[in-house]
Amino acid sequence: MSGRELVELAQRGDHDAFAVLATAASARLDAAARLILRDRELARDAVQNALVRAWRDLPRLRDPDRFDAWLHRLLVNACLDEARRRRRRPAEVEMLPTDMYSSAGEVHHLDDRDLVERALGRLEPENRALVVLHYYLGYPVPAAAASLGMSLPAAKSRLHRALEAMRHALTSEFTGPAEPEGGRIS
Amino acid sequence: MTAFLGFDPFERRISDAFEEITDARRPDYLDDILQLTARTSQRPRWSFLERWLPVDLAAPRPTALMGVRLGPILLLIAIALVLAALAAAYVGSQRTPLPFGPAANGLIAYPKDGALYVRNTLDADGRLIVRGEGTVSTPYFSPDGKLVAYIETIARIDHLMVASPDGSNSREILKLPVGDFNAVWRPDSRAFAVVVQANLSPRLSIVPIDGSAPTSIELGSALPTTDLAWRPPDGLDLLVRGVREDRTVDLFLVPGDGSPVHAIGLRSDLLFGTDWDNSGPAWSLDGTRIAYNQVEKDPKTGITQFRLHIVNADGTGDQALPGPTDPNVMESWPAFAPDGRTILVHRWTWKSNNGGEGWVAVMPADGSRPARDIGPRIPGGEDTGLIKTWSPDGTRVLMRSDNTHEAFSIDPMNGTFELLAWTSDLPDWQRVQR
Repeated sequence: MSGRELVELAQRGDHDAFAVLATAASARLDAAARLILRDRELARDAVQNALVRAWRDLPRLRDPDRFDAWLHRLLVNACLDEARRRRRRPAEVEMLPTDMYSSAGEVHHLDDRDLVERALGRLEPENRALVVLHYYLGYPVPAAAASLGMSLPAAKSRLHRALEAMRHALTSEFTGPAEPEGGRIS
Repeated sequence: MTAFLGFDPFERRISDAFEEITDARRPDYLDDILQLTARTSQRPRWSFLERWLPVDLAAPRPTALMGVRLGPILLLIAIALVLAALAAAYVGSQRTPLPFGPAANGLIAYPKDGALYVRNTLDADGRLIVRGEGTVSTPYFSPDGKLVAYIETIARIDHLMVASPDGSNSREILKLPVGDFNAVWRPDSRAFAVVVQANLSPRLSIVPIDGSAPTSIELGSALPTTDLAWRPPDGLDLLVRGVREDRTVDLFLVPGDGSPVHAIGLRSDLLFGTDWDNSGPAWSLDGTRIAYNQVEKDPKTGITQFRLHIVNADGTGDQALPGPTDPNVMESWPAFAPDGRTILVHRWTWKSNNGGEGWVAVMPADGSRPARDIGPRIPGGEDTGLIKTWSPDGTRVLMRSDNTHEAFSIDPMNGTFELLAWTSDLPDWQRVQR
């Protein structure tokens, strides 16, 4: 059965079909939410909110072929809502294990992923979402902008600034601590 | 410079690093979520958020001629003829009547078996007016009562249509794109304010029904949601809910004279995210105040609640309307009665609270006391999906539940109600002059 047929069945209330769709998407949703929120529990809440809303509003999705894009938009919005809620609480940043950074002489053994995760953590959630939509979920910038409700120029500008901030953060790992983007860690 | 940073281009490595960071796999909590969705009702395919606009049309009532002697009758007939001529001229000139205030109840439109039916009264027999190529749903009369809009779905493509109340002269207004959608008749009944999703991004437009080009409306850096309300008494200004780039939510007034759009300036704490703050705006009949949903934390109990607020149109004087005494009862989605004196509201308790319930209530529009419950209680808490509307004369409230697919007619005075056995959707009531 094709993805489109599954979406159409789910739109007519077939929860088994929705479960197949949700299962297929869940790994990517969870991973994207963790990247944006950097907190497993918040990510879980965001994925739950996105999937509940997807099931509830699925009859209103006109084009079944856009299911994935629609679901990712729901997820990003759920993540940003969670991030917004978190801002009212003390900063919670999921830190990496520090034993990987045993000495300055071992920097060449650092994985790309550790550096990227640290750099990602310095971005504002909205910019993190933009980066994740583009570089992880693979959306062209115009589609990522639309998902976030940004104009294309604003998205391009934010993406450029986010990348520069990540470049700066990665460089600073070896020259000293950098200020988080926007002056705070969220 | 590390080996990592030496790779070029920089961006290409980010994608690979993300894959490694996330180690994407099926989350262990997915089954819990699927159990939750299995217990959650789906929304109907379409429902206009604002099913009926109150109309302010003060048509003169006929005067009874009783006990008059024959002598003056000729004179009175002559006067009556003159008055009739004046009235005809008046009515003829009212092609776009002011669409706010009480009106008489006209036809009742409702979908059934994929077609559109009308009946003269709640108790009368129905008659078919539209059986289209596809499935017809969601009837919505124009403020002047001269047209009925509906959705026709053909091969999963949704078409916004309008027709005469007898079903003739049907025509397509626009093809609806993906995503949430709302269309609200402009008070002159010549256009719709429409919010659609274009490329996953919401767009607000004024779409004339005569086929002329739509006009786009921008809210600055904010994006419109599907909450739209035309402002009485002249119906020229449009109130739109919008989400800013920082995700705070406000109401934006789009002046009909072309002057700049401006924000009302409401609080937006996003306690339940962007979907609910400052939602459901409804104008008072004189167009000076706006009732709307606010999400706030009860300082006594710490419970986050939906409550109604009312604010002056210029953003001053914001105040909470008296809410339910039970802090576990939520209250939202105000709808002013046609005479503007009463506000119809949606109340519910959460499903986590013994399964939850949903119902409606009415409160005085001056905020002098809390709302009084009316009508049936629908099980299902936040999932009851109640939609509601007033009859044009304000003597009945119609309510429909997504959860049970039942529609009711409710007496707002004494709270008694009856199930409308002939429909599972919310009917829409035509406005006619009194």
